Amino acid sequence: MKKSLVLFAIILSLFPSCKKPINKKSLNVYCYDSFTGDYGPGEKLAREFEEETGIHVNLISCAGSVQLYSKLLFEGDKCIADVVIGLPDSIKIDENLFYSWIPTCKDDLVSYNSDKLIPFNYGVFAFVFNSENKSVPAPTSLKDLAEDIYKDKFILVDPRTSSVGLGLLKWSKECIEDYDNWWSKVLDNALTVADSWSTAYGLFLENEAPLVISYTTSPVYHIENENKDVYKALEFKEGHVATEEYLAIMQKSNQKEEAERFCEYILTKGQKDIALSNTMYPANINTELPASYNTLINPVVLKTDNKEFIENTDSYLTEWTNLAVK
Amino acid sequence: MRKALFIVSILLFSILFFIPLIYALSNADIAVISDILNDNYLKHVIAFTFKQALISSIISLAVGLPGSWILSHIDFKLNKTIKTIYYIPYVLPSILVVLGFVIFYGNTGILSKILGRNIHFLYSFKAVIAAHVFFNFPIVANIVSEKWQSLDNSIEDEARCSGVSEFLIFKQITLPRLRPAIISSMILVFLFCFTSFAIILVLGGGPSLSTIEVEIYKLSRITFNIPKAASLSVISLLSALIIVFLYSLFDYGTHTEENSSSVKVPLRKLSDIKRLLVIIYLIVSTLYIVLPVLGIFVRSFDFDSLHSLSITAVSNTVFCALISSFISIFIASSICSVIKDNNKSLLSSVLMIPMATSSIILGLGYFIISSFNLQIPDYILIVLCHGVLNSPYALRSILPVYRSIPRDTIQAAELDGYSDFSIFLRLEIPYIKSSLVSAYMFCFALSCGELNSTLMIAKSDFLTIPLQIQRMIAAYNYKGACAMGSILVIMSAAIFALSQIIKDRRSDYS
Repeated sequence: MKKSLVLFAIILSLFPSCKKPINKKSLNVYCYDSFTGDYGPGEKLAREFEEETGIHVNLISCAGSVQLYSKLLFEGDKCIADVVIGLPDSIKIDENLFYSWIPTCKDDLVSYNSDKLIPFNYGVFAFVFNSENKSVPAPTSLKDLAEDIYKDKFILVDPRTSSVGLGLLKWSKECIEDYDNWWSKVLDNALTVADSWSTAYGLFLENEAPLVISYTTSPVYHIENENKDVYKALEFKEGHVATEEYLAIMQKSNQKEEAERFCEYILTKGQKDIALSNTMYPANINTELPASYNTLINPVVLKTDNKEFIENTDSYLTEWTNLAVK
Repeated sequence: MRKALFIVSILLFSILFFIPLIYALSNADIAVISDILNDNYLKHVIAFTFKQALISSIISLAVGLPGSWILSHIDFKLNKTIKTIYYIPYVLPSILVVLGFVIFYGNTGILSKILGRNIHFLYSFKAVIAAHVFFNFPIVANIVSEKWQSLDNSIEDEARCSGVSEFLIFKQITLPRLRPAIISSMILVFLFCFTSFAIILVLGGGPSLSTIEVEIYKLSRITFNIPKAASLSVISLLSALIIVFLYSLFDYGTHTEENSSSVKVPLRKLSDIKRLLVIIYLIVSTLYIVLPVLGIFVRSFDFDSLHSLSITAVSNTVFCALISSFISIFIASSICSVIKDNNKSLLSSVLMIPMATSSIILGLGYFIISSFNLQIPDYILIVLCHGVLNSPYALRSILPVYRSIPRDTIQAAELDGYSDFSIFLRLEIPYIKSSLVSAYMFCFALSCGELNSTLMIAKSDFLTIPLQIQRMIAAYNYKGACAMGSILVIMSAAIFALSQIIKDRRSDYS
């Protein structure tokens, strides 16, 4: 009998303490995993916002930005999110899910095309190179990646599950004429096609390959936090493509006022942490950038028809997967 | 009372297994299945699933057969140690195998450092096959060696005396009698590789190396396309059933029990070449298993990794394991108490179905249930899923012991007027107590290491040790993954060792 009571007490003490019922007075924020991760800006922003306003923020990680949107659609009426941070600009998004509001800093944002999907940061896609790895010279163009010398030398990301992967798809659509052959060769050359940017970048940092698809701003993290400037974003001859990420307030949210305050915070005081820890260009052009941003490349950014890409994303993905398994 | 417990167990099993499975499969759609079978990419995925399972099985057989001969024919000092080492892959969670492979065989892993050059091995077809062989060659070695050891060798000895060559003796006398064990081990290995998940997810190289299970996971948890995930699950289950059916068609080998007359030959009495080959095989096979696991420990000895240790993940894992194991042994022992007298019980076969069912598909069913507005916490669903998934292992452990209760003891108690419930409580339960404890511990270890179904069900804020390892690998925190992995290895090893001690003590007692 005593043993049973002791066992029962052990079980009770182990009851999942992390599963506190989500405080209905907290703001529930869905975001992608690198935003909430150890190296992301999320925890710091949530803490500072709570200290300033008393509003508690629950950050709920949803893997990549593609999964973030899929989760919203799947959960439908059961979705508990008030705010969503990290919606990509490369997929079709139903704006009816979101609430219309106008941030006070609207005129300071790098672009403003919708009252529902507000950009909070933007980036330029680039391959990042580990300059300490002397096994290959740094490529100078997308076309170079199809050369034999780059066999097993770079890591890609799956466009079906990641906005970074979709970014390379868009980039190649813009710049590569012999699209099918290039992708066939590049997929053959790639060391691996990871599910998410986090996994791909992690493999890169583990020196599994000297190149990875990422952003021109990725080296900032290493310069600021590790005092390392060996990771270099490469400027390609064809030019580059840019991407924006959005935050939005859910139409169903019954804490819209709190949600607006948090979003305003992200778009103003939070922009410096976005620049430092999310390592993307802050959407607010008045943000003072860290000195390390001065060392970044400023490649030619191609003007692309995002609407056309979004309309055709599904067929482009089908085309890509067929090339991947040829 | 016995019957009441039995009915409760059957109901519990049905609710915990068949209902989620029905939910998973009922979301399938004929039109979607047709689309899948016409989709170039998914056809490739299905074909690749079969291809890698077949190649893995064949290579596991080729690697395991020599081991089975050694274990059944050669007497050497470290026989028991080698057998224990061969059990490691069986109890090691797949996510740890994956982690061990990354740490040991990675481009900048331990082997690269030893060889002084980068090796390109991971994220490829050969890495997937190598990891599957790691898991499965010991299964072949153990299953076939047990059968080989039980054969009556006098037939072979007579043939040898008549001057028949060893090759012909093996081909025409030994092999037909070994065939059932070889085929059953191959089918088991094929099914394990067919439903492989963590290995493909991490060690595969992208869309060209994806399997049905990985696609089911991605469709349900990343793109939330439940009808497509469910339709793919139907294809997966049907394929597994066809494989098992084909096995039963080909299983025409002799099943007669033989009087074993095998005497092991001491290693020192073998010819020099044979002895050398045996030693090389034992060293290489042991290192193949042990080195990746050691790599996890080596990489975790880093003070930086200590801050990655998550007490919450450990406590969640122990919580789920503690309760789910009770469920497993409750279901198994209640059913055992009724079927013990029936040697070929249909019910015991039905209870084995979770072993053949993909934990990803069952996890999909629980995930669909979690999406209803039932307010059931995800950790409760995880506990229930683990409970039913591990009940076949509990049954396999408890039933033989239950059946060994001396019949005359029960009859004597019945003649003395004891009620059925008294006999159950005061005679049967004490008799099987050790097997209950060892089955509990085995299910505990299995639950601690279970990733697939947990990954399908858990919401982002619920972590167990395997989930945390998987997330850390995905987020390039290998030191942290190794630290958590070391804890899991120690926990699994300790629990498994304890369950074996209790089992051995039980067999000494009887």
